[in-house]
Amino acid sequence: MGAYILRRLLLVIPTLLGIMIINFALTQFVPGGPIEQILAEMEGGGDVFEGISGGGSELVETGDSDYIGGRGLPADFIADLEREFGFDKPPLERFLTMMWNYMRLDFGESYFRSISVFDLVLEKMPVSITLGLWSTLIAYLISIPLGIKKAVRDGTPFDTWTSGAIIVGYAIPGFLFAILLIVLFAGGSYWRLFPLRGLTSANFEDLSMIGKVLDYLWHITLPVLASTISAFATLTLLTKNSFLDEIKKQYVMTARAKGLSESRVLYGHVFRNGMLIVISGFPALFIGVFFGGSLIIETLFSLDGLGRLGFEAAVARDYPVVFGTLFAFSLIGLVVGILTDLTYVLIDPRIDFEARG
Amino acid sequence: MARRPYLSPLNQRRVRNFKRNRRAYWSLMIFGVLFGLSLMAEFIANDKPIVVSYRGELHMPIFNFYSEQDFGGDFPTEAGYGEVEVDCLIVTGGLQDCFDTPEELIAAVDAGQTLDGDFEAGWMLWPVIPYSFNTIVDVAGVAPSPPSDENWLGTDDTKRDVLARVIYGFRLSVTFALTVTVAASIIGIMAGAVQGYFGGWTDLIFQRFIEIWTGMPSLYVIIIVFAILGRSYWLLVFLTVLFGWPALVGVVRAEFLRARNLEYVRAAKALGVRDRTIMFRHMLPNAMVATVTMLPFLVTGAIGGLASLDFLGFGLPSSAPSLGEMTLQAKQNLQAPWLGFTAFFTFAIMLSLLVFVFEGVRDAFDPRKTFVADGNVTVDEATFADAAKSKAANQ
Repeated sequence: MGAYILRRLLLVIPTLLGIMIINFALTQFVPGGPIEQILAEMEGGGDVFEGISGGGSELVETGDSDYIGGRGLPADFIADLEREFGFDKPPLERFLTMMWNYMRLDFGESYFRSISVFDLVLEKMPVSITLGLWSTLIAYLISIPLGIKKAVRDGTPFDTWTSGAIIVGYAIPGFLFAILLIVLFAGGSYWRLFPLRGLTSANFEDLSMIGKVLDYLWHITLPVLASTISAFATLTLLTKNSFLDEIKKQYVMTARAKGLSESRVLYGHVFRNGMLIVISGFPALFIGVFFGGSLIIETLFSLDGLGRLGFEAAVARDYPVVFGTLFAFSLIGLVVGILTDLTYVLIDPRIDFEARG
Repeated sequence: MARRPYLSPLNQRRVRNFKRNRRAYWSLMIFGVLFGLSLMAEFIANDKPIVVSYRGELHMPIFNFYSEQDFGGDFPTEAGYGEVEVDCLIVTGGLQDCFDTPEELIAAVDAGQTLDGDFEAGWMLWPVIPYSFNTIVDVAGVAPSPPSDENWLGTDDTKRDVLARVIYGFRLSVTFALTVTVAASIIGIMAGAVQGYFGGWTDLIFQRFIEIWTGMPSLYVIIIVFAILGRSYWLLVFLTVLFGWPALVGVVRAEFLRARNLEYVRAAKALGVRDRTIMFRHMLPNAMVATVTMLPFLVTGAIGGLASLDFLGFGLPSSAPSLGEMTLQAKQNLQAPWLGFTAFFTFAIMLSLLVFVFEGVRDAFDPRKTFVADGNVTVDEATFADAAKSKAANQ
């Protein structure tokens, strides 16, 4: 087992290196790096999100021209900028420096805000945790009882119809539900029940403790609802199948034969075994709660979370943020993959990942 | 579905099973009708008439170019069929009075009068919706205008007919999804087959490659590639396939890993059958069930992915009739709820029908279901949960 874990951990290194190399190489081909982005901003460019969240202005044309005011910033200023960002060095040297820093968990600073990438991610966490935690909680609270009920009533119309409903909910992208909810409950046309943007109101600081909690819940209702709908399907059907498999087993018959009540059989005996497969998803779930980001849901509800951070950084070519988060999240993802496999073995010792045909 | 005598008994049974699954069967029928109609979008929603009769000759503006001069007008540019002057020219056979009093002349012709001069009655046959997806509608009022007799689902914020855009957008989304699914399936099946069949080092190295590949932030790459090459439909298809094919590799690989040591494969090897033949003639049919399981998710994933990209402004070129762009407009124009409702229900209906159809296909392929005597085919949730899990793992 130890050898297996060690091998899996060692394989993380080439994978991670591969991801970093490919993405770093890609950025070398892109026209318009962070320098151009700064220049564009100084000369009156726009915000990345104007196109989506309304407003929006035409981009300022900055063509080459002999007129000195038309070209804008002087060449030595640009050279200074390049030196400051380290673009005067060859790509290979930049890549090696970057990887060396990342290995020491030093993720550097954002190009555009004087804040370390680590703090930047930390700053976006409240939104991600809010969406992740609440939607996971709701999904589990509804899916597991529903799955059990579907397993007990397998093949009935109830089973067929709920399956249809959750699969449709799964197939339709969450942001379409979000749009529907906004139009119905937060738009001008119908009910104005919920706020359109943000995690808290502007006067949040002045509210009482209960007021703060209510204000927070009021703001997160719609985004959490929109991001939960698609989460039901997987978990419900996983629970249902797991229970169906268990119910057919002999120990269940024994339990019934000795005269236990049906609920005692279900929750005293089947539940423990049936939930194992659900529990094995916990490592991934845990990470999902903290680092889950949904770019479109966040954008729609004007929330400032990790999904938006990544997108904004990609569009603005904020390389420290792009590569820092890419490195960290890929590493976490790969380790969680290993942890998930190990949990399977822990739960069901018959599974053996080492034995390959 | 006509009875095809060349189908093997097994496939006949699959077709029978599919038909017996009423939800899937009716979904396929409805979807077929909708998709068929959208394939004929040019005849249903267009800003040109289907047939024009001008001075006794029939013209088909949908297929051919006619200048205004062809109808007795002044300009060598394409005739503006929606304009009242051109209407008048066509109806009257090119009377020059049309440039002064078109409405009166049209009214006169409608009333059955014969006019003076070089008159010859003509007519136009318009599509049901006289707008194409990019026609700027000439109605009064503020830009997203509500549903009316002229625009059944209203107009969007550049005054284009929403229903026309839905019809063209539906066609675009479905053809996009089917193209991507077919291409991604072929690549995914071949990759998974090779990986599972040879196993060992091939498998190990390939598995790392796929980990790297799925670890790439696809949105970031799409933004970059678009910045270099510019946007186009086929580039987007290519990129979606590029990031979509690993979805199938896992299941196919697992099936091949399992089957490579079974007797029939060993027997084939001992007989000296080539690897390629063993893989694709003998093993692939057995791996098909696992493959078909993933199909609903590939199709809906492609449509959802296209919609998200369009929504973010990194999708199709802005000239395309995109449903994702309509969703974006719905967000930007909350005072115009018809945009949001249209976008939501178009996607909801399209995706539900597709999911039900492909579920039916999957169940029809499932050996556990193929031989069910009573034919009570239900959704096979075991495979769904597995597939959803591996999908989640892939993200």
